[in-house]
Amino acid sequence: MEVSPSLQLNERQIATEKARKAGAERRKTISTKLNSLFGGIREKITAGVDIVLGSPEAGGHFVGLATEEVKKQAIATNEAVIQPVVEAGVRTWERAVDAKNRLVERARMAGEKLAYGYKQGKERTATKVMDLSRRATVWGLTKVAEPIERRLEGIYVIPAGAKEKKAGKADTRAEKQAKRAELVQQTGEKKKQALLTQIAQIEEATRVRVESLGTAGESARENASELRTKAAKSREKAHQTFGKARRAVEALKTK
Amino acid sequence: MDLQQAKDTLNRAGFSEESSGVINEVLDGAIARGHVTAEEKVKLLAVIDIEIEAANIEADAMEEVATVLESFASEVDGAVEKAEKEIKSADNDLLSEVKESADLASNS
Repeated sequence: MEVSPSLQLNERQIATEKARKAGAERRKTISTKLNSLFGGIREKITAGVDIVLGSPEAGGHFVGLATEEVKKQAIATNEAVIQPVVEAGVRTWERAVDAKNRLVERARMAGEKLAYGYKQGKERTATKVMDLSRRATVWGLTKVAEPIERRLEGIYVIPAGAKEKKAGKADTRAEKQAKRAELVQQTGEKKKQALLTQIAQIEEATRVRVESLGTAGESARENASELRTKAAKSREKAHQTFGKARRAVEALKTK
Repeated sequence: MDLQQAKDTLNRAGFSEESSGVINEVLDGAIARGHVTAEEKVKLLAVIDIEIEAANIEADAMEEVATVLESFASEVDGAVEKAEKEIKSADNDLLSEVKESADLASNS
């Protein structure tokens, strides 16, 4: 049984709305997960340092009670004890930077693909319109392209909302190495604090990027939904209204 | 359906100005004559088919752009999901390494 274009349009709108809501929900969940993950990373580093400082190997509990020499030894021992935890934290920070950089790169590629899709679509439509215009001249029609172009005006301009607001470059390898070098120069508690600060910074950079991409994706979906609605109306017009006109002409008796 | 009724139906269809002009010219001649010729009928059908094709070209164009936009949105979602997985993996490894360091420190 043939489903009417109106019904198809309604079903499509419902499906698009469902997809849009699902996408928004998914991004919200991921954003919450990211907050939780980065919070967890900072907690693990802090707790890990506390645990190793409380171990028999560490001399932290002597500090403040002993001579200067013993204090120095205790600090040196503490540094040695916390070193593996802080190093693990630095490696995690580096992986977070890499993950953010890959996110930026994937977003850039998606943006390029979007622009290419627009360019290709525009060319395909231009070819179709040109072909139709050529065939229409046989019947005395010389301005077929104008109304089509007028109705399609603006559809080949990427919606402003779908362009990432915070688009920019990824951190370079040199920038990452410079930050790592800064971290390595620090010692003990300062190193831990510097690391936590770097992790907070990469968390913020990732969050901003995720939100920006989420907005761009959302805008793209909304524009797509509007276009599908308009396309369905155009098809319905061709199918119903123009079809009715065609049947009226077909019914005419000739002499 | 007589010629005048057909003309009314065609004028209500919402064809382009140029197509409406051609259609009315043909039908006015046919109405004055009292009948439509086979050639005129072919011309009317051809003009309507061009209008149908134009509407379908517009619909195709809009659907293609919609598909490109939806694909972009999916890729953006995928990029975010991958980043989340990568950070989660780093977080899991950190947990193992911190545990290992704590065990080593407490056993030494």
